[in-house]
Amino acid sequence: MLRRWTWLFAATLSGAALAAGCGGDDEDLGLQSGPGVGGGAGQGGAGQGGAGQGGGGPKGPVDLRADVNRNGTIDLDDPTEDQGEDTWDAAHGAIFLANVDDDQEQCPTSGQPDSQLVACNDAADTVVNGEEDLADLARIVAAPWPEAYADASGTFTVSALEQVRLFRKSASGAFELFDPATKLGQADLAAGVELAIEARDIARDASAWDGFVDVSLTVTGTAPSGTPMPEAKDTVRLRVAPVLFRHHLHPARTIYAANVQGQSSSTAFRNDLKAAMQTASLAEPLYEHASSDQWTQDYFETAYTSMPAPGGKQHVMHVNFRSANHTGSLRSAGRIVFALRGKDIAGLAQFDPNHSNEMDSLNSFGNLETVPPYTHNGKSYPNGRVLRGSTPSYYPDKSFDRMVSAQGAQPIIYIDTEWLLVGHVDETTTFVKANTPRGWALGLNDAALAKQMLEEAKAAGHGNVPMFVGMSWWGGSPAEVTIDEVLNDPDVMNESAAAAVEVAGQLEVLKQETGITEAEIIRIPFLHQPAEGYSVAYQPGTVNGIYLSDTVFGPPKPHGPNINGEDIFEAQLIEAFKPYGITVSFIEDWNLYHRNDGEVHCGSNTTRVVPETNPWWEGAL
Amino acid sequence: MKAKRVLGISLLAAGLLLSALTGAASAAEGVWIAPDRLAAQDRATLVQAISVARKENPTAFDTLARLREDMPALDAQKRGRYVPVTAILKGLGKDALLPMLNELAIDAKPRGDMVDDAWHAWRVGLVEAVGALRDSRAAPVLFAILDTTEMNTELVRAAASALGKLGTDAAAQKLVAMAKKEGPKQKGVLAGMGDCRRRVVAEALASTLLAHPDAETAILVARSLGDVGSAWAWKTPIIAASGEEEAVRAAAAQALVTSYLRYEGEARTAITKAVLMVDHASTPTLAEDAKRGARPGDQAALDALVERFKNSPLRR
Repeated sequence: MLRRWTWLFAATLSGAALAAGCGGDDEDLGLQSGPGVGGGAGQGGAGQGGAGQGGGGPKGPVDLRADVNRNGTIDLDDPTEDQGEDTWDAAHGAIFLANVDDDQEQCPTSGQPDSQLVACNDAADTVVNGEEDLADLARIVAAPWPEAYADASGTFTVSALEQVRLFRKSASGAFELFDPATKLGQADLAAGVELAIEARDIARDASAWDGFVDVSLTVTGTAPSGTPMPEAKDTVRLRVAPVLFRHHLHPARTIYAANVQGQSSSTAFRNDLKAAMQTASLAEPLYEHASSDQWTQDYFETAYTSMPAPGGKQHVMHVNFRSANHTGSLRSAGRIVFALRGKDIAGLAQFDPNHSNEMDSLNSFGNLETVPPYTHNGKSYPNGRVLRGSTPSYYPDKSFDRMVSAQGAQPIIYIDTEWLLVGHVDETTTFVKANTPRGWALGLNDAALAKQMLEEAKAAGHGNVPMFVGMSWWGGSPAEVTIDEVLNDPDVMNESAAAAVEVAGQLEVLKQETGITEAEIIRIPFLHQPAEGYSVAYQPGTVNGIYLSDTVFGPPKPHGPNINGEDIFEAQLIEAFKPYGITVSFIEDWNLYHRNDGEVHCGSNTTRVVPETNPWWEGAL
Repeated sequence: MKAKRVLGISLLAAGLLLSALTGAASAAEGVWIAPDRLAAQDRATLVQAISVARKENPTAFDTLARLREDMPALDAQKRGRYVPVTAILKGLGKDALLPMLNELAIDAKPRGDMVDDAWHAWRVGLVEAVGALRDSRAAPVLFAILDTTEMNTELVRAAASALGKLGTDAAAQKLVAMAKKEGPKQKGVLAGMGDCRRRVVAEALASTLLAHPDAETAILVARSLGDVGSAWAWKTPIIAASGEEEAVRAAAAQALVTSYLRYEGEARTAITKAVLMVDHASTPTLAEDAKRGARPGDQAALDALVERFKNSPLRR
């Protein structure tokens, strides 16, 4: 008898479920048979059952088990499933999911108020919605106690009960809502009990719920001798899986861009983006959604959550967050998360409707990026860290950041973006994979380099060479300007100096927090100009590109001065990325994005592959 | 960037409301002032110039009118705080000067149902774009705008900046006088006057910072000192033409470094950034002077400032 419970379906990278690798009759486990439980030594099979270890099987009147050893199964015979089960740390401890996807795709995608749209998910009801929904639930098993006394009684207690829901497997094999206050009788205890647990939501605020739940079973009864048995209690601790934001070391899978209908510039942008995707050999076509809001980066953020699955795999649930952009009402384009919602894909939101409207730009997800994993000063961040623009006086929705912090996985780094008109971290920073001990490099805006390049061109006699050739500002005004004119523009020069100083301040923070060195920085040149008292990219902000693969970066086309047959800003970028094995694939974004204060990254979004190795709970870099 | 900190959020909200109430232009008024706020001769000259320009280049007026019409759509589409009206109008070039002056002071379409952010962006953008052209024909309008009853700090900042960019003695004197006058406009003027890169302005700002104002004011003034002494701005011919570079940048650097230890937190950070903006060669010496008699911790802070200066992001 294979003493192993398997409940999870292995997820493919595309999210499609495969059959359970160890399914079938294993799920019955002979729990109804009673005798023999605990004699599993040597029967474990496949190295998962504690074969040969002895003493790991169920013991006594109460033995509560969960997937403490994180191998995707509950092993009654494996002592590592039992040891330290009432604690949780990086090495062990059971994990369960917030069941907030929509496996049967029953939730509406539109036509309802936002509050109803976001409230709909698989955890919103009290039933298990089919096998795929069941796969999202972790198991807890009360091992059979065949010798249960006639008057034996068991009671579950659950901490943070309001955060979770339990289902009990019935004799028919179906899982039905279970009230932990239900008394278990002799028959229940003798046969054992199988529960499935879901979190009703993700952790949102650590002060309200830290994501942990302790499930205990207490058993009492009277021995045949007439002696009351000592109260027996067993506890397992589980943690709801954190939601993790993507970082650039994970390969891109799905690229999104708005189809702004009636705008030829939108078509041109998407065509260039598709060409860059082809260069990057991305298998999936561009996800094009009709929207008048072209800032696809800003209104949703892709993330994921996962728990152990059999075979060393993860059961992954993708999570798309709607942005906290709320100025009287939520940003309507953010409803895309409900259109994307489905099997193993959730659509969530977190915002405070009372947050300051004046700071709402910071709630766009161009202001949420992820520093890739690293170790610094003896501390590891295996899932990287969220990067946001925020100062004490100008900050994003605090409830959203509380939610990020409540995941306990990607501590936020704040840099100052208050000086920018838009105020997003993607205006000055990006991250790319690098063949270095750190594994990644920082792309950083460098206005001084841009100025230097123009000065060198001028010194070489090219001061009258135009840039922005053929481009126009709003209303068709020609944007063309010579190198001399740019260098002689006191406002562009002053704002660029200010930008250089501010970016240096951002870098100071990043150096302090990550230990990154000058040698690990890709300098990306462009100048700034003043606008409404703030700063915005004057030249296309080429740091604000899309990282399509380990070998392809798609920045905006810089439209720099053409000298000796080449755009000197294109040439600089190509050379700057070459040492990292990265090809630059330029994307035309002037009309729809650049002159509206955004660039390629602002106009796109990415779902990235969740690697099969190094799941978040292993904490490995 | 100069709007940073100036834009106290509550103040902004109040200001926008005030602007909404007072700034709704009726017929034959500009979005900032009515024509009668101009001296009769200035008004007549301007109206005449606008009339001629409208005949000679109606496209420029049409373009501005179209942008005004598009503001609600642009606002709905904007990324960030405001529609970048300043940059858009700058892109229209010098031909837009008289249409913009007309819009500012003579005859603008009323606000109508333009939302607060769009209206704010329109007014700030117009005055900033006029300032960026550095055209003396704008002087009467910019002086009159600064004398309006507008009290919103950010709007005053934009108006002071625009006037300051003219760079004239009169503009500089006007700004210095207003900066000395306590009242609701003072902070806006202090925040914007750094764009008037003249010695008298630099000295006024330096004097203000050396008087050890509260941290909020110190931040405004430090940033203005960074602007007035901006090393990169002074490399441009139009700014360098005054011949006051050394005096201005030296005054700015001296006030900033001397004040460095007097502030902590955000104010010290603002001073540090301004020191880097000014990038004056006297900085290490000034820091050494400041170290004399300073506590060990303060000496280390000054050393850190010098280190940042030596590794200035402005110099490659």
